[in-house]
Amino acid sequence: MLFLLVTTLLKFVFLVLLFIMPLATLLTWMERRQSALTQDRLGPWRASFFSIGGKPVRLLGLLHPIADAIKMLFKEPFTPASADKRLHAIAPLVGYVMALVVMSVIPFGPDIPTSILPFVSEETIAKYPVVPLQVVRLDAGILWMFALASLGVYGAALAGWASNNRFALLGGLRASAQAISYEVALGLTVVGILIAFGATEPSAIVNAQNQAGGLGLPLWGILVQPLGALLFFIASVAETKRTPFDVPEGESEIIGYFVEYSSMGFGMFMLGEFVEIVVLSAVFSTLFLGGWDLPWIMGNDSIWLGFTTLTPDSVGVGTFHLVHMLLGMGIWGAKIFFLCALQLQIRWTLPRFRYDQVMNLGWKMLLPLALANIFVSAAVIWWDPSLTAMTVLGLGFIGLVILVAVAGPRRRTAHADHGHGSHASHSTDSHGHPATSH
Amino acid sequence: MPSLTLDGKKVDFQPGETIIQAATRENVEIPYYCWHPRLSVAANCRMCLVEVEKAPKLMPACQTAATDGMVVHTQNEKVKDAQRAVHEFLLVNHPIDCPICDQAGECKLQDYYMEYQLAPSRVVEHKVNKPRLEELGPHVVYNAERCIVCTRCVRFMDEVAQNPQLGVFNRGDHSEIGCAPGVVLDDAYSLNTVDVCPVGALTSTIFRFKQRAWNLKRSDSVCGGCARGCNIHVDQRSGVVYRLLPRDNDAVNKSWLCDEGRLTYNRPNEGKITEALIREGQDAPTTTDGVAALNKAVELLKPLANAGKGVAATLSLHATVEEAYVFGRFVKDVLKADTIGLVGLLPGGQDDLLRVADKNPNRAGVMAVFADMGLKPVDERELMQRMKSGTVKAWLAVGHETSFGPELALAAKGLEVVVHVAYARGPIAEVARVTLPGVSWVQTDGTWVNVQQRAQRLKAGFLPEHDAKPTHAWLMDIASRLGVAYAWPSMTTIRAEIESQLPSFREAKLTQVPPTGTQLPWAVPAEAASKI
Amino acid sequence: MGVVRVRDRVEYSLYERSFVPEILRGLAITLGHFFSNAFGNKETRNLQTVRYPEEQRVYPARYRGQHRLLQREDGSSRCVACYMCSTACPAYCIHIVAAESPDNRIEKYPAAFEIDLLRCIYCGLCVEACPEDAIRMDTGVHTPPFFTRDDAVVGRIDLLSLMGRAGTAPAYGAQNYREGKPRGA
Repeated sequence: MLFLLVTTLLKFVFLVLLFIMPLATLLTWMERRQSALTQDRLGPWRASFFSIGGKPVRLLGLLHPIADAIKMLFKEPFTPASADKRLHAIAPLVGYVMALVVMSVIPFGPDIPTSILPFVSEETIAKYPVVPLQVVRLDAGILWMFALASLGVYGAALAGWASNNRFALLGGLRASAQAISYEVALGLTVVGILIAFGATEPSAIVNAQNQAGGLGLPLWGILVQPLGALLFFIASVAETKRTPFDVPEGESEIIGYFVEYSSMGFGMFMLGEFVEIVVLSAVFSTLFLGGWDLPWIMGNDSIWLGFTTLTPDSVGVGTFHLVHMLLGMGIWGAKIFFLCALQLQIRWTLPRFRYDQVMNLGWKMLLPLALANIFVSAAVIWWDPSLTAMTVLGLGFIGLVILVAVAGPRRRTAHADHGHGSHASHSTDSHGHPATSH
Repeated sequence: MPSLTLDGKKVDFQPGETIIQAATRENVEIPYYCWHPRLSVAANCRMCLVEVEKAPKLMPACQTAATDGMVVHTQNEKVKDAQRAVHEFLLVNHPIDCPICDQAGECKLQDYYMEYQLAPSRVVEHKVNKPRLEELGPHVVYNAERCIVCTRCVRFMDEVAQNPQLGVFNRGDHSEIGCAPGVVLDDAYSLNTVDVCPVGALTSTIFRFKQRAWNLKRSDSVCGGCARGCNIHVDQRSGVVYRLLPRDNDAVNKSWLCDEGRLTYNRPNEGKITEALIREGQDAPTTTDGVAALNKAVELLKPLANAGKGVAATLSLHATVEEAYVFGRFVKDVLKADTIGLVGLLPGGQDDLLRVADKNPNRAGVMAVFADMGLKPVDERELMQRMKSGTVKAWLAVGHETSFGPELALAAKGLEVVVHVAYARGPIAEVARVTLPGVSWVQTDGTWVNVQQRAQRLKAGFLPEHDAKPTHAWLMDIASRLGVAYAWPSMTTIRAEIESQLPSFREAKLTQVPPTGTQLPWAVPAEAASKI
Repeated sequence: MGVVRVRDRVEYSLYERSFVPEILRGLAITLGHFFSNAFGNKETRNLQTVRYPEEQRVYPARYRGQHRLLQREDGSSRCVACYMCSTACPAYCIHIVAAESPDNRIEKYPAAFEIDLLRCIYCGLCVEACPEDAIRMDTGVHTPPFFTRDDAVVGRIDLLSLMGRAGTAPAYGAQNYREGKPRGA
């Protein structure tokens, strides 16, 4: 019992205090620097607390998150007189906590044999043969994940309601409507993965993805279920309420459900948004990118490092598992970081949708496509349970998308619209109709 | 009826009319400087030249009598060419110093330049230099450089004021307006010369450089300088009245206004109070919140309201008919005052033209209201007597316009309660326990009856500032707090009630007084006659 | 006269409505900027940021800075209190009190000339409107910071003491295009 407590606590500390919080904080800096550089600006770079040799230490502006945290902590936490005080106080916590709790079922590394750990008795080893790098190993982990993620929207809804401000309320309503709409698509796209791997436990899904498939490729979700991955990614961006899906916050029109929050209350919402990015990236990498594993390099009993191959026999069981664990967590972290950066870049690439567009996309595009995905996947699995046919189909889909993106027809730009008859071949769309109507 | 053809249109006219009169009635614009509808014709500016068929040259429209069958062109190329040439000629020696000229913005030279000339100057010679700051009289400054010698001012002094103090001196481009040696333009109507001056040659010392014409906002009102009730325009900016100008009214003042009346422009500004004053003990009054002052006034008046003894209420003769009626109802229904007083200004200078001796603009109206309501007012002397003898212990003073201000204030020093409603801080405000801020006549919607028994409408030119309110509104507020609620949502309801309740006003049609006033069917006193 | 060109609403094809290729192209553009700015060399970087206190942008020659009033050669204000600037001012920030000048040749001068710099929008219409070339915005100076609202109201004396951009002396003489023109006694 004590063993369980200690290992769980250690996993928790690693996950929350050493991974999610620092990454979320880093993302606040990344968001600003990345957007600045994308827009040919410099972004925040001035903050410094001390200087060495007369030159202030600025660290590329990495100290800005610290300065922001200090500032937010010392601002006045203001509650409107007509607000519902208790709800107003707990609303920021709800979304934040729910996002963190979702992380508890995400595997962030390979299982470690208990025998290699120090200070462990034989009975314990017998009782708990492995320590999973996953805070909780739940059989219905995926369901748990989605159940709690859905509760997260209470944060926005409660904040909007409790503020007693019509703009906040509008923001909260928009947030709830949007979250519910996209959860449908989110849940349905995952069904494809569940059909393919036949498991609802995240670490089992990760393990299933890293088996060699029929084509010599790993069975990663993104290869097996490319459409599902695309839909899931779109829906998860919508769940984070970030551009292009930021109608609930719409700074330029209604400000959003947190309009009446100041100080750390607002800070929680802002940080919560970044935590959500991290969490959804983690879920995505678990479901579609093989989690902590990397095929060809990491095997259960060998690690290929290019110049040499590590096996438990060559370096010893303890060292091998230590390297295995660290490498697994590193790969997991790298995948998440990549996905986070991608989400940030998408934010600075796409403009905000109109609200009707958000709803149309959710209900009229994502939902039917997710349903179609389920039926097609089920049919393919029924025909060929080994996933090979599915992988071929997936690769075909990816190839089609790339082909169309690279070599697809282009609409003539407005400049070329007049007087350049020689480009007539480009003025037809994929159906052969004239693309522009005069 | 004889008729002429004006720009291809048949126009009827009365025999004896000139072309410009017929054209003006038909809204055909013919430019002019020297012509004035109420002055004799000089035809020296030549701006109104029009083409008359069969006439060898262009004819001045202001002087040429209209004849039957005449064919006149005012818009053809020949006339336009003449207008352009005449205007260029008028501007040859004009200094174009519009930035420092008071007339800028209401100057005919500017308007007509834009409309009829609009060509750059071709003058390369030095312009003729003439005196620029000649003080013709106490109120009028003359700039000879700007003058186009239209002689309107000379003709005004000769024909209307009948005091020929001005004349044209020298010849050609050296001619200028001036007074003969030893003569000063000090006539009581001298400022009308500034009005008739179409350019910036004559400017008024009381308005000079105070404001630019285009910044002023104009409202219609009636002059409060004497009982004549000349019709005026009130020019104000940001609540400060800068000048009063005559407004045409054939029945009262034609186009004229006396200097004395114009000088009352400062009455609405001088000592103006827009916040209530309250006085504790022997201290000087201090400003306070309007509601607090109202509550204080009610608290002071409450014990007296039904006592019916020792209470005096006075009204100024500058009050409107409506205010007089509300005041009458108030003292009868609410205050039950046993001494009703009317205060006003002492008689002053008069002449045959406009000025009358009575300097209170609404004596006729207030007296009629009081007579109809059965109120028997006492004058200031009697009031002071009663204050000194102790028969009057409390005083509600509505309006501060009285020549006996200091004396009344001295007599009122011993009174327990003095409540004052006024728009300026006068001697009475210094002794009053509470002074409620009223509004001056230029901000009041009301009716005055002048010495000719003509009811004329005052229009509120701009809104009251801060806590200020019209007198009747204050009285209604006090009444409602003392338990009498009057149902007068608007001025119209008060007027309708006056029409129905007071016999003198039964025929008056107070609710529909036109801009130039209504003659009331009362006997007109002999001194009301005017030679103007 | 502007010409209004009406374009029909474009019907997008299914391919375009999927937006996927266009999003990928958009990402390529933004990522291109990001990488060339973040990891590129001097040639590929295109950063527009001016690090303000250390680096300062050079203002163009016609930059509209704080106003100043120009002087006559005797040091008095060229302004004749004609109110043209305050009339032209869209922000109503110029307050003038005109008065009779002791100098008979001038007649009118501003007894008070105040500009409320908090109201001013630096549009330069007052300079355009001035018939006497008495007000200019060529100081090249920003609005200074204020501690009270009253400080933001700059009076005639202060305005007269400001220098032109060249920093030498208040300009008069050669710039006075009226010089030599006959005017008044």
